[in-house]
Amino acid sequence: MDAANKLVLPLVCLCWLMPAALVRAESPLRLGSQMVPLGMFFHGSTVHAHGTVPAGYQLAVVCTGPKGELKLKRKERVLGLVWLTRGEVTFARVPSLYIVDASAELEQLAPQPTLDRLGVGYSSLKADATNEPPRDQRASELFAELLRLKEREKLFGVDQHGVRLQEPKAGLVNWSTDIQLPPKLLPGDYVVRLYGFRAGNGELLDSRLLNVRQVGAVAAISAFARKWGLLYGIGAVLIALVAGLLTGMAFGRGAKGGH
Amino acid sequence: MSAWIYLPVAGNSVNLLMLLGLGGLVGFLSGLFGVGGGFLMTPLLIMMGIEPTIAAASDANQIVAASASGTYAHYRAGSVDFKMGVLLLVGGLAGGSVGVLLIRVLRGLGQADLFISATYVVMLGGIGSYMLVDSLKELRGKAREYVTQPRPSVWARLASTLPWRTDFPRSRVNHSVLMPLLLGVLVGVLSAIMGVGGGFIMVPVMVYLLRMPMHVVVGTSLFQILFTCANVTVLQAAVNHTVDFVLALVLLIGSVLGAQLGTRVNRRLRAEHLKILMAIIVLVVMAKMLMEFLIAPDILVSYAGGH
Repeated sequence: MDAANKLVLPLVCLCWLMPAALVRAESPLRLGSQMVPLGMFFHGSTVHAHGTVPAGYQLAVVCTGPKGELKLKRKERVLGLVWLTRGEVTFARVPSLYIVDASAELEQLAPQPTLDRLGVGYSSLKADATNEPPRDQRASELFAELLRLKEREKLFGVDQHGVRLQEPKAGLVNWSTDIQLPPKLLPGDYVVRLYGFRAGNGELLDSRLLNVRQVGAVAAISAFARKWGLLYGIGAVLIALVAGLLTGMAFGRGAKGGH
Repeated sequence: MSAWIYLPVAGNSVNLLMLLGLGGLVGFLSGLFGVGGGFLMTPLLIMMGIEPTIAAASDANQIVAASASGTYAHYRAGSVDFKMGVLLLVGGLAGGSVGVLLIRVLRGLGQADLFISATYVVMLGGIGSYMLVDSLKELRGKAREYVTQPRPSVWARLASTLPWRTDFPRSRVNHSVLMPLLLGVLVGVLSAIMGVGGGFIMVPVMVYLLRMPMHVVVGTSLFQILFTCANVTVLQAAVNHTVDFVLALVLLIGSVLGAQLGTRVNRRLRAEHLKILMAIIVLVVMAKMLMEFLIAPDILVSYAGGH
């Protein structure tokens, strides 16, 4: 009985552990880290994404931030002479971050309607930004300007050769990419999606949540500013006042005074 | 230690040394000329990637420190006219409210931005040119100026008709109480329209319309800016949650030191030289704005808020 136990127990353990190990080994999408901490010295971050997919796929990894309405000032030429701000333009639903890493040029992955349906590429963002309520006629005209603004801030970006595919082995391919998160990053629930493309067709292979969270002093200050705005403002003024007066006094001792 | 710091409210990472340097430069100008420096600091912060509303509100927070530091230094030097400062401040707060209402009406008519832009260029161009020409004249022949202008100006005659005259011993002038109050209202209206603290409008008003000595002007202007910016900071923090204290703290470390240096240089310069330098800065800002109006922007959309 004891001998049988000695044999059965490791076998049970092996059977229990093996599927998990296999799943991990063949997971289409894994992230180096599921959480990005926004601490006092955060200056952008790289999230390593990798996985294993059946051979024959071209891949696109899309990292998207929370979506929300965005109001921007728009400039127009007035009287053919001067450039002035002429009101606002409202984009209905714009992600705070939109980073695409692909294994090939997007137009080679699938036809445009397929990419739009899956949400791969800037074109797919246009419908959300311009057709959803509240509808703003100018949003459509100025969508390209929105993209340029976000690209300048590195909040939007498309790297058409960002995904590295390894040589296929036993009908499977390992892939990897480094998602570059910019220094200007707001906290929230971000999503990383992996799309596979084959013979002009595309499908969602896997997705993972990426938590971007403020931590430590950054979280404490941010929460204080949001919850107790008046107290925060008075405190900020008092600290500035004391700092200014103390510096004045410290320097004043050495000064001659008068003129 | 990292050279970069993440700002909790702005949600952005910026270079620590660059912020300290920027604070020091603007603090220096503040101590030297008695201006808040918002017209310079806010656009530079926006260029560093800070959203305009947060840049303007946090800038107001750091100006509290720089102006407190500068006011204290000027107070020790005996160059703050508190009586005049309080009257200008009261007028300024009233004028600010009028200006905000005026802007709301103009926005309704769809002409606010054209009006603001025109006000900027005309005000800055007018003030800068007048200060420059006048200071150069003073430098060339101060004595002859007084001899050839024995009659009081129209402004002086008009001002002398106002009731409730009182002495302002620190400034060595005698004016009606209504003068600083009404001029404060005027500057307050313009500040609200232009969306700035108003230091670079207030300084010429004190010099040319209230005839205050330049060194007292700088100290008194800083005293007034201290209260204006404290008010803006508290309101912005309470209503819009746009004050980033970490940003303000780094800026103010640079600016309080810069303000002390500026105040010391201020004491060593002649009033005419100060006016010429101030005029040049005002004209440079005006030229920069004019260029922005004339040259097509890189991107036709931008974040709302700011100066």
